[in-house]
Amino acid sequence: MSKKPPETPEIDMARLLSLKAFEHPDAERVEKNIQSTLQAVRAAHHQPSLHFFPDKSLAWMFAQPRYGIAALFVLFLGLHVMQRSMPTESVGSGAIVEEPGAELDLASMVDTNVSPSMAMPAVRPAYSSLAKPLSFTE
Amino acid sequence: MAENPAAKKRPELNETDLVRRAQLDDMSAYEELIRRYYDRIYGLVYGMVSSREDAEDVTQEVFVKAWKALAHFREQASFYTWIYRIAINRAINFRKRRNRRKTVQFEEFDPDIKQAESYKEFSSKGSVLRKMSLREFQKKMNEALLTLSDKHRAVVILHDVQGLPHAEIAGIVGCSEGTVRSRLFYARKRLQAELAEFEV
Repeated sequence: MSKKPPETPEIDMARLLSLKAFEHPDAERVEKNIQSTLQAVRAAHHQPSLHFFPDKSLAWMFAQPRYGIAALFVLFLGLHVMQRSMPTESVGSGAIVEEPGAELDLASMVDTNVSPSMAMPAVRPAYSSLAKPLSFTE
Repeated sequence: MAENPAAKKRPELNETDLVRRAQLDDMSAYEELIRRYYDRIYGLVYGMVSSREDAEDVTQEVFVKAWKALAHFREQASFYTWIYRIAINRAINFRKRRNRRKTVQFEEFDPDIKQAESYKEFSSKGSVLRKMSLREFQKKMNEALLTLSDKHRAVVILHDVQGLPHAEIAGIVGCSEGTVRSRLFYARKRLQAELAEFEV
C-alpha cells in the first residue's frame, strides 16, 4: 500500500499579505510628499496649453511609428491624387495679355510649343518651280 | 509641522462638493482631496512598483494627471474609483517605460505591526516570521509580488493589502466580480508557490 505524502499546510496568503499594509511612510514624509505634489499641481495649473505645439501634437506619431508611417503614406497618396486631378494646360495658352504689343510675345511663345513638323505645310509631290499655272496655259 | 488651513476651514465638505469646487479651479478643494487620498493612492502605487522613490514619483504624477483631467470627470463613478484607475494605469505605464532600479528601497514597517493579530499569528512558534526577520520577509514578499502580472498584482494589492471589496475592485479595474475573484485566486496560488519556504 502506497503511503500518502504528508500534506504541508498552506499559509493564509491573504493574512500574510495584510502585513504589507503596515509598510508606509511616516507622517513627516507624507506631509513633505503632499507639499511637493501640491507644488507640481500648481505648476501644472499655470502652465500654458501645449496642445497646438507641433512637438506635442505630433508626439503620437513618434510614439507609434507604424501609425506615423501610415499617416505619411495616406498624405502622399492624397497629394498624388490631387496632382492628377489638376488641369494640365500649358502656361502660354491661358495667359492674359494686358499690355499693348505683348500679344506678339505670346504668339512666339505659343509657336514654340507647337512641333515644327505640324506647323510646316505639306508640299505636293507633283510640285515643280517650272510648272505654269493652269490659268496661263488655257 | 504647520496645520493645513484648507482642511481646517471646511471639514464638513463631502467628496462630491470638493470635486465640484476643484473643477471650478478651487485649489484648496483639490488640496483637501489630495490629503484625503494620498495614503491610499501611495499604498496602491507602492504595492505596484515596490520601490519607495518610484512610488513617490508616480503618486505625484497621478495627482497632477487627475488635476489636468478633472474637467472631463463626470460623476458616473466616484472620484475615488476614478483616481484609483488613474493610479493603476500610471503604475503599469511606469513599470513598462522604466527598468527597475538597481537598489530598491522599501518602506519601513510601522511599529504598530507588532500589535496586529496577523503578525502575532505569523510570529508564533514554528511560523513564518520566526524563521526570518521582518526585513527578509518584506524583501521576499515584494519580490514574489513582482512576479505577478500587473492585473493580478493590482487585484491582490486592492483586496488583500487595502481591503477593498470585490465589487469596488471590479469597478476600478473594469471587469466583473467573478474575474476579480478568479484573478485573486490565481495570484494567491502563484504567491503560495513563490513563497513555498514560508510554509510550516
